[in-house]
Parts: sequence; structure tokens; C-alpha cells
Amino acid sequence: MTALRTVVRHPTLNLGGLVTLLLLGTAVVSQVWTPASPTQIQITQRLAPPLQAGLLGADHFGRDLTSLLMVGAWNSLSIAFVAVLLGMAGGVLLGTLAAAWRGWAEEVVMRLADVTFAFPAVLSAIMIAALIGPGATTAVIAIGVFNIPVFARVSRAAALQVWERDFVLAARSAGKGPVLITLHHVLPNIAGLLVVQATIQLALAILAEAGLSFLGVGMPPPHPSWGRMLSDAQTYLSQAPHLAILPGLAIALAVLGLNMLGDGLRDIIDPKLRRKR
Amino acid sequence: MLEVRNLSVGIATPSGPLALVEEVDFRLEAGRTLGIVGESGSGKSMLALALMGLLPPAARASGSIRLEGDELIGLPEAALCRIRGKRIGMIFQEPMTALNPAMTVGEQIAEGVQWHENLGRRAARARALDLLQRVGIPEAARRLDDYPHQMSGGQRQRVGIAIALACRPRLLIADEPTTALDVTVQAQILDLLRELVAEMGMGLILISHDLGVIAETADDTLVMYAGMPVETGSSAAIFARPAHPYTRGLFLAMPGHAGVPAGAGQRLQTIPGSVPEPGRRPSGCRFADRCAYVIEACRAAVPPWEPLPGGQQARCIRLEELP
Repeated sequence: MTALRTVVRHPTLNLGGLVTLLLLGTAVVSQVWTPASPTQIQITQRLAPPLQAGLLGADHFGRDLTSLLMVGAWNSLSIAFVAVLLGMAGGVLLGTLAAAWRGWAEEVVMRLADVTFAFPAVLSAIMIAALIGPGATTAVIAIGVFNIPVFARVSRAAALQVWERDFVLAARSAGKGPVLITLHHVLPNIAGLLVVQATIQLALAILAEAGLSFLGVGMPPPHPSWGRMLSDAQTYLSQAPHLAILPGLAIALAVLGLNMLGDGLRDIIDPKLRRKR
Repeated sequence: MLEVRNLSVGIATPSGPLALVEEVDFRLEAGRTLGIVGESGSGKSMLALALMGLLPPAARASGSIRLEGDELIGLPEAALCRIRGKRIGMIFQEPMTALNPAMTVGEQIAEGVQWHENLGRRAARARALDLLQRVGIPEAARRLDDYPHQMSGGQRQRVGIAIALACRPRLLIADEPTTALDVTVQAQILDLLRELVAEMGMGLILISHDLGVIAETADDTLVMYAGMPVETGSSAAIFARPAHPYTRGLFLAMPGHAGVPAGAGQRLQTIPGSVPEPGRRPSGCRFADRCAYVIEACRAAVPPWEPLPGGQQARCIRLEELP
């Protein structure tokens, strides 16, 4: 019950969590129900402003904007989530092992991270799209690969700090090897940091996915995507500004919500802040 | 049980190898306590890490460490991992930082047992509860699931002792176990250590800069100065008749001890200067630059051990001429 009370008392976490939950809810609901079909074209409703056709109006094909945004949330979130998970798994593995073994293993991992960082993500996404064609897989690989060095660096830096702590020396004096120490002592102590980093990376991944769709290497039509909605809206900016404002708002809200959630989580995950029973 | 012969620890530096600890010899029998005393920089902690095989990567130990007949120097890491915790336990100075803040104390005690003895979760937890009771934590069953930050410094050190004892090691190394604690708690922890040594028949190496702690707890004493032992013998003998000028200096700097009048208005003496850093140590007697009795011959070579009555030994060539 105390955990619940801590959560309730934390405004940033509440707001961030609420926005994120709303987003997630919308995404999940979109898979079973939308006000209208997101692919149905109704030319009579073309560029209709909000409340004149559906809740939020219609796009240049007369498709219902509410439904497009809802399914777009699912597509954005699922791609971002899988990509960050992929990047986190790879990055944390490499980063913590680099910290545990030091020496040449560490050098190799960190130089690889540098190389990946030096390579523009968008360029490589376009290259991957050229190889396997645009689509969800392309977006996941492109975003995921660029999350690996981020997590590798963060987890290595944090793990190195943990390795310097006395309780790791104590664990070594208890006879534990680098793998067990990483699992039992390093990971739990950097988990909070990783969760925070993951939520921030999730926000960035949503942005990246929108960017890739904007450039046409994300999910191909007719799958709705926030990024492509923005890109399509450019032509109609003066006639129907809501076509750009609404997906833009959706992206901004998703990023803001996730960032606030990350901040709030960091505060309560730290065991020092947990209340005494 | 533990026999250390000619143990030295050196570290490779850009300007050549540097000796941190030199020519340490001692024996420790089960059920006895050896106190190692010296100032900061005397190589006490390095010696402890060398015994555990936990030296920093650049440092190397040479000589011989035999634990129950098994040579530890040169043993591969995997073999050392099976010895650490199982046959040698270690207690650390800072109970604050030596515990993992993200794990309950019960998990941390149980961990070593699960790992070394392949015990199941439940059995390991039962052992942890036993140990927590044994080290004198009240309401142990309830405290088992506490995190370290929920405990006081003294309780944390008790948990540290429980962790070190988890696999019933033959040898316990305590590196300044009471330095970070209040004086009243210090006495309780020392009492606990004494009880445990007597009860479990382990050998205890107690490292401290505090002569009072050593006097209270240790059967034998080894005095270290600048990486080298300078005096050794039974604690009773050393505390009654400190022989080496350095040991004498330590006693004179301590209120109310042998040879020092405890009366009011008496000034404590200090040893001039400070412990030389490795690399700046004099080539002969390491204490030469700070010794009041130094002569030319002191600087010529490292003084050999001079035997004294009752097994006491000191590394000083002028023992007989000293006042």
C-alpha cells in the first residue's frame, strides 16, 4: 500500500503516467474499435474540419482523422517499443560486460559504439529501406540499432561506478565471478537508470519513427502513421491546418508524457526513497 | 592453518616496479586472532587484499600464502572464487558502502550460501535468519527483508559479519571493522568477533590502526611500517615491552598506555614526519628518517629480525642500546 501512496503523491509521475496510459489505451482500443475505418475513403468529407466529419475531421482522402490517429498511435508505439527493447537488450548486454571484463573487450565495444554514433541514423534507415524495402521491420532495425550504443554507453558508465563500490568488492570477497556480480549487484543498481533511459529513448524512438515515416521509409500506406500524416498535411497547410496540428500534437504529447513518466519513475525506483515499513 | 611466507606486493608503474608490501611472514592458528597494526599507508589493506587474491589488476603478489596447506598465490581466478567466501571471509571498514543498497540484507547473506553450497532458496534463507540472530540483530525474522538503509551503522556491520560468516569460513579477515562506528558500538562488535572466533574456531586477522582495538582482541600482533613488518610477537609481550622505536612511538602517542603517564597536564608525544610513500621509502630501515635513534648503519641495509624473549621479534639493529 505504501508503494501506491508514493505513486499517488507524485504529480510528475501521475501526469506522465496518465498521458502514457491514455496513449497506450488508445493504441490498444484502436486494434478492436475505431469510430470509422481508417482506410475508408469518403471524398465528400475531404479536408473536413473537426466536428464536421467525425470528432477531429477528415484528411485529403476524406478518411476519418480520429481513427487514423488512433491506429497511428498503435503503429508508432509498437515500432518504438520493439526498437527500444532491441536496443536495450543489446546495449545493456554489451555495456555491462564491457564494464565487467574491462581491457580489450571494453575497447572493442566502445569503439563500435563510437562508429555507430558517427553514422547518421536516417541515412542508414534509408539504406536499410533500399535493401529490404520500407516497412515496420526497416524502422525497427534502423531505430533499434541506434539505441544499442546509447544503452551500451549508459549502462557501461553506470556499471563502472557500481564496480567501484565496496559491496562489489564484498561480493568478490564472497567468491562471486563477473557474471554473477553483474546479474546480482550491477543490474539491480542500474535498473532505475535504465528504466529512465528507456522511457526517454521511447520518446525519441517515437520521434524517429515519425521522422522515418515523414521521409517515406516507415510503414507504407495504407497503414496510418503520425509521421506520414504530417508529411501529407504539408500540401494542405493553409486549407486544413488541423491535418498538421493534430498529428503534431499527438507526437508532442506522447513524447512529453513518456519523459515525465521517466522522471517520476526515477524518483520512486531509487530504494533510498522508499519509505520505512 | 594460515602460513604466509615472504609475501610481497608490487605494482607496475611507468617508472618501473614499485613495492607496496615487502617480506611479510606470519602464521595463524585456528581459534586465534592476529592483529595487524600500522598507520595509513603502511600497506595493511593491500596485505588483506593480497590474502584474498583481490589485488588491483596492476598489482602482483609474490611469496607464499598457504591456507590449510593449499598455496593461494598463482591460483587461477576461478579457483580463487571457490575459496573466497567459502574458506576465507572478509569484513569491511564501511558497513555503509559494503552492502548492496538494492538488495535486502537477507538476500545478501543467503547469496553466498546459495552460490557456494548449492543450497535452495528456502534453506539459504533459513541459514540467513540463523546468522542474523547469531550476530545479535533483534527481531531477526522481521529484519531479514529490510534494506541496508533501514539499519543503523552497527547493525549493518553485524550484517557484514553475517555475510562473511555465511559459509563458515576457516579464516576471517576484518579490515578496520570498527573504524566507522561509535565507540560503544565498537566494543560490541569486537565482543561479537571474539565470541565468534572462540565458538567457530576460525582464525581471525584483525587489521586496525587503533592499538586499543588490537590490545583488546588480538592474541598476536604484527606491526607494519611503510609496507614492511617491523615488530611481531604476542600482544601481551608487545604491549608490555614495545621494542621497535616505531612501536614505542605509537604507544607514546596513545593516551594512558604503557610508559605514558595518564595524568593531567602530560603531553602526548608525536612521531615527527609521516609515512613515506612507496618509491620514497629509505633503502635501509624504513623508519630511519623519523627515528630518534638513527645511526649511519641503519641506512645501510634492511635490519634483520632480532629475537627477544618470549618469541617477540623486532627489525632494529640498536635494540640493545635503546633506553
